[in-house]
Amino acid sequence: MARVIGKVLSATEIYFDSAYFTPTLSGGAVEGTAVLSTGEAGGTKFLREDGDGTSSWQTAGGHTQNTDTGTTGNTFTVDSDSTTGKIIVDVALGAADLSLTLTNETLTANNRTATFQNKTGTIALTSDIPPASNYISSAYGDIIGMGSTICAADRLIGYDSNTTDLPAYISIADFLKYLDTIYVKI
Amino acid sequence: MIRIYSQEKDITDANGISATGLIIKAEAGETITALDVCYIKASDEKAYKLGTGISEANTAIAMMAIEGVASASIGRFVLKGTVKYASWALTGGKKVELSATPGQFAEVAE
Repeated sequence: MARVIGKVLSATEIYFDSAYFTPTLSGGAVEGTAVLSTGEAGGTKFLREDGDGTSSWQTAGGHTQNTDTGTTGNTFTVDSDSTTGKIIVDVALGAADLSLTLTNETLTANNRTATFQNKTGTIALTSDIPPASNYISSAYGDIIGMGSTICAADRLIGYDSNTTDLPAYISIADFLKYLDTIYVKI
Repeated sequence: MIRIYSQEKDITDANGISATGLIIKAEAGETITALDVCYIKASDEKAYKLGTGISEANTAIAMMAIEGVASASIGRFVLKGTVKYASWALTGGKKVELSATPGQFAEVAE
């Protein structure tokens, strides 16, 4: 936008003022939304400082894959201000894009940390693992997990409904006594 | 050297140009035509035509010549005030901006 130096009063008269709406008239505090872009089109340009004291409209380039090289600490925080934070990786599958979402259940008391081992591999997840209060059934009986409603936290697992060789659950001390008599039934 | 010629005084040029306001006298650094938009170049303190391509376009004091001035001669310029010229065919209400052509001005919608 060229510098404004006056205003037309009539067909034959102008009001001339060297300081008429000059860039410094408002003390330099010009709101960004007040910057006009007449003569520009496309809706993709940005105002760039050219490094020589001037600015110009530039066409935005294509998408740039970014890596945050500015982070020097060992922590990168995504503050979601939500009870369930999410990091979403969008991937393409044919015509439909799918999303891989890393998220959490609502934390109630403590911070949680998931630590990966110093290994490369694939994490195998299944929805078949029962919760702690449940048990895994087998052809020969039920294996009861420690801490369940049946097996106390200080007891070991070990239950076979087809035999009375082992009690439904035993203490660690008793388990040690059975060590020489425990067998695997197949 | 810049000298204030008069203030708030009507001046009517022989070409039908009249001006009211703050008017100064300045030495021209080039040939200037009446109604040219000019500025005082800091390096030699002389008047030159001002356009958007001039490096001082946004910083120099702009003024309008109310008479033709030969290079190295003294002429009168309006710093602030009204300028009337019967041959103009302007549109009232528009802004007056610097033009890319030094000395000219452009009408722009408010």
